[in-house]
Amino acid sequence: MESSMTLILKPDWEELERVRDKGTEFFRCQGLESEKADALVMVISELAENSIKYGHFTPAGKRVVIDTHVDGRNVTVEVRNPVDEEAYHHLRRLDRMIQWIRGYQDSFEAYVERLKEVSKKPLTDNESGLGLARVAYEAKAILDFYVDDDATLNVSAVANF
Amino acid sequence: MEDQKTYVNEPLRINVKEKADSISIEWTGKSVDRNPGKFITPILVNALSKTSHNNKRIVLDFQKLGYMNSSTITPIVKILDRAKRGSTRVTALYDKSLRWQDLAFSALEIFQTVDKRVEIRGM
Repeated sequence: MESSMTLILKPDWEELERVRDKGTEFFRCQGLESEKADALVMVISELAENSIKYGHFTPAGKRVVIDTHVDGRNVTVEVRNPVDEEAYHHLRRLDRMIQWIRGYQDSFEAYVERLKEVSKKPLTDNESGLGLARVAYEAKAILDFYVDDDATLNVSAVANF
Repeated sequence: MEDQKTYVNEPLRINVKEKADSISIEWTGKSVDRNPGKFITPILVNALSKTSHNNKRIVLDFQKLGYMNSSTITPIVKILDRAKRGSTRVTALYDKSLRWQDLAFSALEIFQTVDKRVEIRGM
């Protein structure tokens, strides 16, 4: 059985609670156990947080789009947002991080390494950088991204339950 | 005598109770702020600072926490790392019957010390 959900949100942090609620409702309707639904809601939430943080939303009216697709035991979450040339620094980091995570056979090891790195940073440093490693570890998801011709960043996570 | 204070940054509440032998820091609600460290770090640093004089154990109780984003994990692991490298005694409690807590907090066992001075415990 296949089923999809599309959420379109303003790039406001306050929108994320609605996203988590809608995600929970959607996955429960698909009959997923609550622990799996929780992991997938975390995936949506982490990717949407990154999208709001690093997307380019001017002129006003641009949105974050989240597509979630369940096909049997496979769940795909795709989060899209507009980017501009200033985002390329972030895109390089995103590329490095995804390649780095893929370099580990076990995503738990990647997550633990990331925890160790982050824990050594100054208390005043607000950068987290844990989100993608957490998505790969807790949801056992495979991450990917591309930028299309319309300067839209598409980050995807595919989990197999 | 217990000294108690509750810090609120909706939807997260952190209740700090100072007891004779410990400082209990209980988390309830959800931690979903864009920059949760701004709220969380001063509370944790204050507890670390207090226990450096009196050798009390800091008990971080996450069992009633409903959700946290990855940005919340950052200040927690920074404090655990500093405790591990110092002399502070810290216990982090989580609810291992909740799958998300089990995954998120059992990974923090890398900060545990052999003598359990820093301890991550699923309840």
